[in-house]
Amino acid sequence: MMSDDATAPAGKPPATASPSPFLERLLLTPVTDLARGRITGRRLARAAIAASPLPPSLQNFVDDVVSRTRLWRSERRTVARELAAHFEDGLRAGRTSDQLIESFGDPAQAALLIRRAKKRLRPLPWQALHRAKQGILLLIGFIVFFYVVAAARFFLSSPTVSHDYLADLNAPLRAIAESDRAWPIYREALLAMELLPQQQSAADALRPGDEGWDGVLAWLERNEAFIARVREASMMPALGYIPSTAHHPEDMPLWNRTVAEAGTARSAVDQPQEPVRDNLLADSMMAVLLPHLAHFRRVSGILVTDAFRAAEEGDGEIMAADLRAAFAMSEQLREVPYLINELVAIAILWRSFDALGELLTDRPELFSDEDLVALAHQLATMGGDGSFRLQFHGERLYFHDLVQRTYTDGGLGGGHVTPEGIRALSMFTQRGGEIDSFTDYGDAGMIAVGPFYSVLAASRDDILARWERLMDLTEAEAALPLWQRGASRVQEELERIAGSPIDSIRYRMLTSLIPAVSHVNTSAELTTQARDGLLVAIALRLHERRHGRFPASLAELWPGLLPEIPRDRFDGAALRYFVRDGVAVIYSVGTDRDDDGGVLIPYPESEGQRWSLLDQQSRMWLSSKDLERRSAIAPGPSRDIREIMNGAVPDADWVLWMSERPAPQPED
Amino acid sequence: MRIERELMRGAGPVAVLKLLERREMYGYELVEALASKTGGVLDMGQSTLYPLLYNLEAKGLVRGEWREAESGRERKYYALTGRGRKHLARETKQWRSLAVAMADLGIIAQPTPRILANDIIEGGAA
Repeated sequence: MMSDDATAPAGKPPATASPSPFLERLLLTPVTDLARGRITGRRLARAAIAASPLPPSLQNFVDDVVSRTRLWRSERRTVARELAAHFEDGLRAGRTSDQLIESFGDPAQAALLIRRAKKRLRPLPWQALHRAKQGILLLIGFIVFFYVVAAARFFLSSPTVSHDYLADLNAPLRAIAESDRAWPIYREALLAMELLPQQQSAADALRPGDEGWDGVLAWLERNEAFIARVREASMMPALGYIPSTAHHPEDMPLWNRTVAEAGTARSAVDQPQEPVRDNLLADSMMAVLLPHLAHFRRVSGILVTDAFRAAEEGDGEIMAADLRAAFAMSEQLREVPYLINELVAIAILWRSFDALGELLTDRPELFSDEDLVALAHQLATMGGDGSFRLQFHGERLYFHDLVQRTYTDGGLGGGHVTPEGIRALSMFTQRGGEIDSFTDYGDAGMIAVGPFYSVLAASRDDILARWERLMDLTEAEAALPLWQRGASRVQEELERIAGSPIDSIRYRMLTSLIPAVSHVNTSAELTTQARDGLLVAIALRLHERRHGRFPASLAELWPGLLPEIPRDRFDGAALRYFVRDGVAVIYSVGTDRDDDGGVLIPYPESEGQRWSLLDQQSRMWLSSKDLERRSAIAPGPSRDIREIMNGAVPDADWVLWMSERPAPQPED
Repeated sequence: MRIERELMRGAGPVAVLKLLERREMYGYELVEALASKTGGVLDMGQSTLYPLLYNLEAKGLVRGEWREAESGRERKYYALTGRGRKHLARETKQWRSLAVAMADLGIIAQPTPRILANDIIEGGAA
């Protein structure tokens, strides 16, 4: 039975002066509690309960429910008042305390539901803050969960080395007959070679009159047998050096001698480094030892120096033999399709090209017709088809080998990067003193970032596919002559990766290890250009011998002395040629791609040393974008040395060969 | 008969809003009215009523106000707001559509024409 006021009709009872929730909260802060002589506002909820005429059992029940809500003090007070009023109404309706408690339900459940509902009534700023806090906690929880899963996946994984890519690379080399191999002869000769003179050791090649020439001359005479053995080795059909991650037992005496000489100023090669074998990469193709490259560089320098000595002494036969041997050594190096081998081969070629050009200018009479023809044939057939197109087979294999040593093998091509892989890789990618990646922070960096990196980094099949694609693009680019090349698609792809924050991390291994392929491809084309200039020069000298003069045009050399007129690699036209005052000049339009009539960059006598640097500026291949950018360094065509040294495009040509040396310009 | 929790979750708020449609009521009054007017079917636990009222208050469908009764005692009275009235009208239509559908399926008895006519009038008024 309800009390009369409980069942009163709809007339509004008078509202009490109940404070707003905000004001109520303000009044119930601990400070205001103290100001009002109360210790804590929480007691107000109990005071409200105590003020009700409820029996102790119901008061305790209400207090229990209210306490469990863990709401704000003001909210607890409101709930306490309302529940007290509720139970008072129940008592007035004739219910007992026990009936009311029973019909109310579980106090814990009630407190939970009341808490949830009351929180929805809180002010909007609190709601926003609460949601933000929940969001942050959820995010942290997700990150922690993600890290745990990623860390388990990362730290419990290890790479599986299942294929011997080095054996693939070496298979054709192992098939070379022992009797055809030049390396054993080189090795024997190098062991017998006397320690190089200081000057020869420090320079590419020396010429008569250079500082220390007398000492070098004496060394050359004492080591005549060594040079003869080198010439003999260079004529062998193959080099037969088998790349390995450890020194071959047969090479150990040479290695030991190199180590012994390393402390001296006249070492045959640079300071040797013992391979470190504390990780999976120690036996990878990245760690292959190629000590013969340094020997070949030095020995080819000795051959060129000896060619100048022979020319000085009027010995044309030895001079030509030395040059042919240097060219042959370059070819032998290309037997292993590693890019580094190709680059050393090109360096040897340029040194030998310079010497051949100089000697064709200064001492043409020393070359016999047979020598000239033999040299021409040798140059024209380099690389089998006369092409210097670089090989990237070794680069493909080495990357596959690297990936199998740094990634897990998912079985179907997939896999992810492993801690061991990252640790090993960091040895090859870190820059001196510069914090370049999280691995530079040691184990702490690896623990903190490694799991995330392994998730973010490209998968095994993805990174291999990307590498293969870049290699395909590189080879396609290499197949085009300079004049047909547009913007490098390889370069564009690498710039796109570098410009993307995600991809730059994702493909970091790839971008760290890919060589400057556009640069090396350009190098190969410039080498072709230099070689073609020399082929024309040889043909001109032969024509001069037969007709007593240089031809009026290169067309006269065809087909007897030249099977075809070589093209200018810069614009695809025939190489430029003219004869003036009896001096023959072969040239390319060069860097500015503009025919300036065979103009050299003028250089004053005192600038002789710098001229070689200036000359480099006239034979650079620049993309259209770079050409435009560098043309802006100096307004209009520039022949000013300072401007050219600052990067201005020289208004000059690349003079490939002149039948007489250009005279230095008088100084201003 | 006790109604399943999920069903009660949908019906409870509408029932409370309906009771408040005509006049303000306080908590215990609502509990009693729900029990008596529904034959005990919607006799929700009292612990459920107050969270339900607070939720309706948070949604702006009802407004609570402390008032002093004639006896001098204070009670919190709940009244339907304008938004609550519109919400109730929408909910009523839905429940009626549901009832007709259930009746068509033979799950509940077909409403009498008198009630249907009355509903139409009430629906139109709402």
